[in-house]
Amino acid sequence: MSGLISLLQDEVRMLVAEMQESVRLAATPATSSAALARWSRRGQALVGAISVLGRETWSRLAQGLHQLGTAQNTDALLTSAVAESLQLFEGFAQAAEHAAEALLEQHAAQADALCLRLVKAEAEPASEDPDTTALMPLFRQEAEDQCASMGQFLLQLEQQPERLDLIMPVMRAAHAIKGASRVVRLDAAVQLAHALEDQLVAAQALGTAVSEETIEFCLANVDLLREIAQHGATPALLKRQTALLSSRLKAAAEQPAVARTESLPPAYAATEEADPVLRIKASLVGRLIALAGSGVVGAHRLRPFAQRQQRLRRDVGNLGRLIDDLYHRLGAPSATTALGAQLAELRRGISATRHQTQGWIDDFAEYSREAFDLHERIYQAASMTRLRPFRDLVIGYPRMLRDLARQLGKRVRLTVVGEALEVDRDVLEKLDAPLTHLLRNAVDHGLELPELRQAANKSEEGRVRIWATHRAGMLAIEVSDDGAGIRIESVRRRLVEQGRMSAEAAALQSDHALCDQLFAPGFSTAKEVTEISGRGVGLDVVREGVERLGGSIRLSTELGKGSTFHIQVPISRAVTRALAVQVAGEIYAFPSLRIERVVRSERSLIVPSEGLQYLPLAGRNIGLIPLAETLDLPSVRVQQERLDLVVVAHQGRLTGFVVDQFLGEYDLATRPLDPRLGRVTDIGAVALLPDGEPVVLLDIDELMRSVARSARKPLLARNLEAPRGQRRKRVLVVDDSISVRELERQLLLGRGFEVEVAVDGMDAWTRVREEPFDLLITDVDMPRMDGIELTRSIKQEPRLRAMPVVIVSYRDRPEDRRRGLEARADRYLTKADFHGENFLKAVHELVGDAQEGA
Amino acid sequence: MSHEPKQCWRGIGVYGGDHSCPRLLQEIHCRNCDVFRHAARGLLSRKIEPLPPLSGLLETQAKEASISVLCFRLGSDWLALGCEQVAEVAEARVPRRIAHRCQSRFEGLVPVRGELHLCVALIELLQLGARKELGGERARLVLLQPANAAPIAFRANEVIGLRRIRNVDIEEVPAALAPELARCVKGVAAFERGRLAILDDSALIDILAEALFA
Repeated sequence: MSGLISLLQDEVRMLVAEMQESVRLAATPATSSAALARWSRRGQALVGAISVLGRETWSRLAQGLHQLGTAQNTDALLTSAVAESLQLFEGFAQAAEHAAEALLEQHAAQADALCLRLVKAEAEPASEDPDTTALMPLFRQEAEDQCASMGQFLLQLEQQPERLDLIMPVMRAAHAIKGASRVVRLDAAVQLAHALEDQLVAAQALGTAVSEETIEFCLANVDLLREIAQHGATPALLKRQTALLSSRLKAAAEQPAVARTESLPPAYAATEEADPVLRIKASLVGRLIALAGSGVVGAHRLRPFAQRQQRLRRDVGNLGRLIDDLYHRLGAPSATTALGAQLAELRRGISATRHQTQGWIDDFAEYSREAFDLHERIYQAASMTRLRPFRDLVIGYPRMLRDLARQLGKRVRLTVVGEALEVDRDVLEKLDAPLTHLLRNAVDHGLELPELRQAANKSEEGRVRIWATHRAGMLAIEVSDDGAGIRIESVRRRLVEQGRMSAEAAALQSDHALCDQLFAPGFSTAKEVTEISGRGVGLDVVREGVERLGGSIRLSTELGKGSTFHIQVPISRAVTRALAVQVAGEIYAFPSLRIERVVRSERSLIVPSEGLQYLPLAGRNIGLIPLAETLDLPSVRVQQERLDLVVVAHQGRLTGFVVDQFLGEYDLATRPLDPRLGRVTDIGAVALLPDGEPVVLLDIDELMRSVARSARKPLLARNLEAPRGQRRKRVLVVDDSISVRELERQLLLGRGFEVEVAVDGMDAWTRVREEPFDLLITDVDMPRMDGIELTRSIKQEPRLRAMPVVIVSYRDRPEDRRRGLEARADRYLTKADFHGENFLKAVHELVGDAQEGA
Repeated sequence: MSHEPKQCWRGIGVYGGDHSCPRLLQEIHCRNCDVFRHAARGLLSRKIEPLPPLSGLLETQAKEASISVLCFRLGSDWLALGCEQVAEVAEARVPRRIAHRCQSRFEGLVPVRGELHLCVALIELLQLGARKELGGERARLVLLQPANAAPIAFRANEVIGLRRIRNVDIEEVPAALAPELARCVKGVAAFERGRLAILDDSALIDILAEALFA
């Protein structure tokens, strides 16, 4: 186990540092939820890492720490028990390698005691009346909405303290919350809301501009209200409430008392919300959209009926003409004769039928037009449920920046243009993190301190602006500040310092290119890494987030004047323009963006060479591959005179995929493949064509990798044909914790296996398809693709399903085990099994010895 | 008020009567007439006979305990499935095959009401025939929505709808049943088309889910 302990210490040291930082961030309301999320993730990783040691006390302590994150209560992180626990782990991490384990022994008793303290520190949930439990979720939602609204108004009031008319909406909201809190018997909230109302009434009565202290108090009050509504009246929150109220009581005692009646002034009468907002389950909306879509498909199908009716009309018309012909041919007998009478009746009948059918056909045509129009509108309206106003995203930003500015001793005003813009809710969600980061950056690094600004003849208050607009079918967002701008020279110097570029190359870079470098990972021109930003992991993450939405970001800056980030993202994630093709009788589609060319070629132009086929085109030879073959879709090879090809580019090489025929280009509303199928090679998503036919969207990168793989196959096969008894079996170990990976690797190397490692599920999935392995050992909790999905994908893939898969996880509940076995894992072990013989025994059971005939 | 009203509205009135009642000149229609009104009120306040005891009813029901099943045909065998599991019976369509997954019993994706579902070749799983036999005018797609699992579908040669089978009519599974079928059949009964194999719903759901890996 050489080197294992020091690896473990490194990992623990990093995790503890991040957890300690989470504790710091947990103290500020603005960052507390992010802090909790990070604590949760790191806590889990810590549990995984510590489990390697096989020491129960310490595993339990790590578990205890992790559990605190799941209680959703930031106060729990701020206790001394937590701080001491983290210190113990830190001690272990920093000890000398040979002394580390001894240290654990020494402090075992302390760890035990801390475990108990951690359990006690979990806040007791507020005791709830069974009657009110049903009302709590509704109350929480209302509290959230009202507090958000109050916060907004208060911030506005802070900017314009003379606008006493802004007090009324806050009072209304406070009054509403007071009433609601009474219903759910949350006394602490009732008291807070009452105090808030009192404060506002007094401010109103004074008649002068609202004081800063009053605003501070009100904001703190609203924050506390929000937290109590969400978490209940925990001891910690109650303490804060008492402190807040008593401080205000003291101040109020020094002011003249204001008469206040309980009765509602008429202005409190509830105003009707112009357009109330509903809460609705996402699954219901999804079903609605699917049904609306199939309604459109149904309306389309009326078309053949209409066509048939036209034919009917023609036929009836022809019959009429034939009868007229017959009548004249028979010498136009008069109606008095038997024949004449019959003919007359016949002609009358046909004429009547003609009229009636005409009438019906016209009615039907109108009906089908209306039906089609109606269904189109239903579908459009249903799709719009996916849209939310941009305002929903930016609503929390003014408060966040205000708090941040105060922390830094700066002043800032945020303006937003384009609040009403409707944006797909997925896009909005994914923009939150990048925008938050850019805004915090702007305040932390962009804006100068008030004194500096004054010296530069700027207003003391810094201006940050978000501007959202639709441009060329995309959503364009600009985040700009009027701060100091970025010094291009510093960027240039830093690049050379960091060794990313030679001095000569750096000198040749344009300003624009240098700005782009700021998005490179690990780059930061901030002199010190502050808690706020500037950790050098910022802008690259922002770019990644934007690019994952299919968008782009660039920066423009002017020294002394400020900087602007320009973001462009597609308005909706879910719609892809694609070319549908028929292949092996199925309908698949290529995303249009990735198509180089579409070619219909005569067979005679194809040139065979070295067992492959090529098409010369525009001076290049394009290698041809039947798409059906790459996708493993059995088809009958038909010799066609003309070939339909889709040409795709990848890393400078062109490949032509031969398909049965082109079907047309469509805007597809894509959805993911059913998770029960796991990951399927070459496939990205699925969708429905306008006529209701399912279509499978290809993942072009995967497709090209598959092509490359099959080209390499002959070489790999040769490697595997090493004489029997000399080949060592290959094992792939997957885990995102470096210590666990190392442990497993060492154990397996010790038994003579050849071992490769992968850092997460996605990595492993790519590896197993590229190279042959005899065994896979995987963790469950990993980013990008977890162990369950990986196992499922492997066991469903015909070429890989024979490979044994062992899941090793610290989750040992029966339902976790069942999930693993449902995914068809061959064994499910827990991390405790490393310390017995179980792990190696399982390996031996599945693949035997490392070398054949050993 | 317990005498039977004479129902003059039927005799000399407008309700099937000959319109000879002298009051009609005044009231025009029986419904405006006091006599009619009083008779109606009298109906509401008359005495009624005691109802038959319910316990007897329950006993009969217990003896008649039955299940409601959806009957469908795979190949030449008729099978039955608990109707609570069935979400929809739709037009049969050839499923869209998924790359690299063509060798298994999983047939592909089928659209139902605008959503895409997984379709499994149940006929092959139960060894009752081959999937290419699943065509024809009467073929249908059966979409199942189990209580605690995701929806899954299969194609059947014919679906004749719901039937009620009395528990007493369900017999033991004959020994001569094929092994795959025996695994999920809990009994057989006779019905209008011959022998009906009643399926164990949860065993069937399990078999369908496993098919993704087979």
